[in-house]
Amino acid sequence: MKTVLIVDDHADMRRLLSISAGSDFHVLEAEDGESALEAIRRQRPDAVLLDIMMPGAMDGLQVLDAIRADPALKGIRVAMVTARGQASDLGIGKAHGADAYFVKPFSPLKLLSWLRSNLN
Amino acid sequence: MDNKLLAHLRRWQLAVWLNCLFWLVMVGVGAWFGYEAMKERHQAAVALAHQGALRYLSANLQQALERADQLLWVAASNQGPAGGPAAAAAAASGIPLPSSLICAGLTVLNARGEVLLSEPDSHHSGQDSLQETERLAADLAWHRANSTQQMHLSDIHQDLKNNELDWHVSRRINTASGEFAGLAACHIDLNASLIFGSARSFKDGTSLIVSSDGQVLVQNTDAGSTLGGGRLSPALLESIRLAADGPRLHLQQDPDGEQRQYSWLAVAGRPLLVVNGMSQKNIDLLTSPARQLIGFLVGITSLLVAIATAAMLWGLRSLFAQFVLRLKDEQQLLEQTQLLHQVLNNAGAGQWQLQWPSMRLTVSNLLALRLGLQVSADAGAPAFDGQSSTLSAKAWLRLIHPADRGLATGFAQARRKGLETQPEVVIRLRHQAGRLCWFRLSGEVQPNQIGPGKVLSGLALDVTEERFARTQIEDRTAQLNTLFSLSPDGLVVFDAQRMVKYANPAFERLCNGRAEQIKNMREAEFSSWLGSLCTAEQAFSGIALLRSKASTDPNSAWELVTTEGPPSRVVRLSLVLSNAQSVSQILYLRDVTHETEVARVKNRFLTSAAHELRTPLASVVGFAEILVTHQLAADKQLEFARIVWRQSLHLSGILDELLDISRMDARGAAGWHLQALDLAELAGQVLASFQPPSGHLRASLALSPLIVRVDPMRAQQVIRNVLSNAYHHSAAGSPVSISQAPAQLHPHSGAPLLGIEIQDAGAGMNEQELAQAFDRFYRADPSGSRPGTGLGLSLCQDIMNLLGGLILLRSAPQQGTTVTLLFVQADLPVGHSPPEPG
Repeated sequence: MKTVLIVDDHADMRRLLSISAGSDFHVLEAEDGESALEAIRRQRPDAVLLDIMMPGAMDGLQVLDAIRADPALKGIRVAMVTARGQASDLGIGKAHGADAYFVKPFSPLKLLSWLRSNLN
Repeated sequence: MDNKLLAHLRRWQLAVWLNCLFWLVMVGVGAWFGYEAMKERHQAAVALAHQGALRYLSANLQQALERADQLLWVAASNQGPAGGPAAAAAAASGIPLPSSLICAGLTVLNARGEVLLSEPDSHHSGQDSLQETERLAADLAWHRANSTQQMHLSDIHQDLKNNELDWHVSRRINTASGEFAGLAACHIDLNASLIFGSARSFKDGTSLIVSSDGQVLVQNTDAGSTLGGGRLSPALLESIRLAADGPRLHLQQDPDGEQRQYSWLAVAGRPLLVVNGMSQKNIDLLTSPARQLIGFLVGITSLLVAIATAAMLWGLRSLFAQFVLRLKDEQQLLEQTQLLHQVLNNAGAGQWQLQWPSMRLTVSNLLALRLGLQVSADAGAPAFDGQSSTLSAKAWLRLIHPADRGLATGFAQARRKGLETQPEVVIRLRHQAGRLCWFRLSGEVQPNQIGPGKVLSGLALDVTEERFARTQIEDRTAQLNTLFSLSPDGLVVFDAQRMVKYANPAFERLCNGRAEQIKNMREAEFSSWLGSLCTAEQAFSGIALLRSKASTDPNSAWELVTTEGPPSRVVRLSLVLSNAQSVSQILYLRDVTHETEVARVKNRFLTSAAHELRTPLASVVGFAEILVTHQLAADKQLEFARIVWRQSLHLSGILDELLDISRMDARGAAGWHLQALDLAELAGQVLASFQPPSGHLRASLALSPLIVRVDPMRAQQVIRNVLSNAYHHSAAGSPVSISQAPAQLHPHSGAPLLGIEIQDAGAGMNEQELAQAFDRFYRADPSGSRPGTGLGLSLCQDIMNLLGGLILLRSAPQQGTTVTLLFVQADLPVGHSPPEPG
């Protein structure tokens, strides 16, 4: 079973993402950037659903940069799930190497189908 | 005009020609009369010559015949009754005979023919004697037959000997009884010189002795005398016969080819005529000098007439040419005058004249009409364009605006004295309609041409419109200058050479007073100077670039720069190209620091608001979708529905606060009801209605009355918000208290402030959190585990500011937070007692 890491500071949002991934994946959760990166390095999930604006020293983009900079973490699929929905934000996400960009509010079904098509 | 003149010229030429003809005719007539008079005189002279010749000839002939008759009578008488022929002869021989040159050869014969006396005749001899004898016999026979006592003229013969003509004549001698007793005969020597002498004064003439029947007896010509052989021409004879009242002249062509003029005279007592013929050729010769003279005179006179005519014609032509030229000049002058008047009229100008010492002012009708005056023709006034009006100078002075009268008279006096200080003057004249017209007067003094004194004449130019325009321009310039100087926007005007011509005070202000040296700076120099004032992040790209933008799309010719502080400004530079002669372009600077900041804040706020709305919305949408699309157990359905409900409430709260903020941003405190109220009472009401979260204690309240000037709704909102924060950031059971804050003065307005402190013993905030506490959407705990929008404190601060109060935060991590709310102290409302001190 593939592992998906959900990174978001809102508990309701983590719950929603977890429900969205459903029973197909093994779901991990993290509340901020540092704990997310630590979880990634430790457990090496197949995909990361990453919020951008989070409290703490690292925001989502910095986590993404770290993933992309680390050869050991190569092949991890990263989807940004964020409230920053401006066109420039999408461009920034792509530039940092995100595989997908979901703007809140998003459709849980679409997120699931992205996970399925990218991980299976 | 030319045709008319040409007709005139032709008429004059015709007159000259007629004049010439008249004089030629006069010369002809005069010459004819002169010639006639001369001819008459010549004819008289010729007639006189004829007469003289004829008289001479006739007298000579008569005398010769008379002498012969006398001789013969004497001889016959002596031979008569007394003595007979012998006695006659005797007597005769004793008679002193006339000159033998005339009469010669006296012979007396008796009836028988015997010679009684024979005067020796040297002429006759030989043959002559024989012929003489025959002639005597013939005479004897004749006399015997004719008893007349008259002398018988027998034939004329030529003496062969001396070749002279002798005229044989004889007279009968009667006896006492009257019988024929013989005869006495002699011959008359028709010696040319004796008889004809100088009868002919003209060459080629002829003198004739003719018998009464027309037989020419003797003819004398230049060659001498000859026996006449013929008769006179029938025409001449007819002429003689018809000349009853005296001889006339008769002209005829003679057989010798000569044309001659003939006259005649009968010899008294003899059947003889003497005829004189003059050669016409020679008579004509006589008159030719006179004719030549007349011809010469006629020629000279005609020549003079011709010369005079030619001169007159030439003079006439040149006169006409000059006349035509003058006429053209006059026409041209007239046209130019008309043109001048047209120009003057179009230019709004009119002429005027002021005369001294009469002080009469004459103006052209053009000028009078411009002033709406009735124009009248004044015969005595000098006319400019045919028509003018004259008034006394005083009357004119009344038309001048009172303030300008001194100017006008001063001008006139200055011009009169020839002072060059005032070449022209601008005055106002009152139009008849009441409005004022501006006129520029200029003039020159001249001596009066038609009277005593001086004349100041000149032009009056209507400059009303120019004045009006100038006033308008001055007005506008003043307005523009005011606008320029008052404008909050900076303006830099470049001249035609693109050098800085003018910069307004606002520009200097925008440059923070560093713009002293820019006047007359070149564009490139100015660009680099302005660039040096800008920050590197938002530098100035130069006017040249702006100009190239302006020439393609005027709306795009702008850019934003940020000037180096202090204070740092964001300035919008735009360039406007100008078509004006002295202005090439204008650089327009607007301080958009505030707008930029506002826009930046607004943008950040909107982004934050969107973000804050999206997060709860994502929960609402996402869980709703899961509820709709998944078969869920009842407990999960309930859980998800609760999440949707909670997040929806959260959304609603955010929206309420956003609307509050927005309303306050837009309207401020408008619509609030400020009144003096007791803050303690308000806080009590809030506390009473506030339901603390479960597990929390009710806050303690320790307040004496605090009369402040507030809007009760807003004040309560602030208190409730702060109270809510205090509960939310503290653990259950942790105390929250409301106490009185120390009174103080507002640091800016100086207003006395009274207030309360709301204190919790919660988590508190570190310095960074404290600094951001009032930022919109800032949340100390963004995890969503605690309710809140992040707008609460920001909203409270806005309200406190609008109420003229203060909100202060005091906090440290894990030591709780104290929020102080200070309101403006108000006078006591009626019925309230002042607060107790302490």
